[in-house]
Amino acid sequence: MSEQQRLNNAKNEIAAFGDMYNRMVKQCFEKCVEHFHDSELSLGENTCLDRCVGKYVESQQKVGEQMSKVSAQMQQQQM
Amino acid sequence: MGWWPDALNPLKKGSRPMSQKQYEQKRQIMMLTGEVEAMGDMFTRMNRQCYQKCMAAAVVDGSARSDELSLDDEKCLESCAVKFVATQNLVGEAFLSANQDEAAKMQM
Repeated sequence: MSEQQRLNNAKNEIAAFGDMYNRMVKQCFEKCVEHFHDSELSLGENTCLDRCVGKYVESQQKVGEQMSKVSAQMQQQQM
Repeated sequence: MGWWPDALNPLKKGSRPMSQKQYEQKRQIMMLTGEVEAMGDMFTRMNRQCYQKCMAAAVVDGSARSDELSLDDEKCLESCAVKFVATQNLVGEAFLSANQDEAAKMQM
């Protein structure tokens, strides 16, 4: 792979990570933080956020695996 | 990430070689710009989320008294802002540690 291609790959990877981070923050905030009478995160909310991050990353991996399987199948069918 | 400083890209046609000091300066400018952009982005997100959480329901119902923020609204928005920032930090840390675990596993 040429140097330019590697640079582009790295750029895309960083952009993808940043995007995933933003989406994760939005989702986990929506799901875990409900009440605003206190301005500090409660213990429950903290736990919820930890679990949310774990589940989000895991589901992303699973979906990625499935997608690569499906696209491999599709490519085989086309050939 | 739509803005990539071509001035820092040594592979871009026509870029001149830079001294170490110049490189450092440009890198710092790039980092500061990125930081300001991230702050603005976070502000926009926080705005939207906190409006949705604290005020959207009341406005749609019609129960919100017009034009002014009630004391409840203010308190809710302040808590929301603090919690949003805390969430971002927490998620960032958890994300980073999860990534590092994964990278360590892949190397083994």
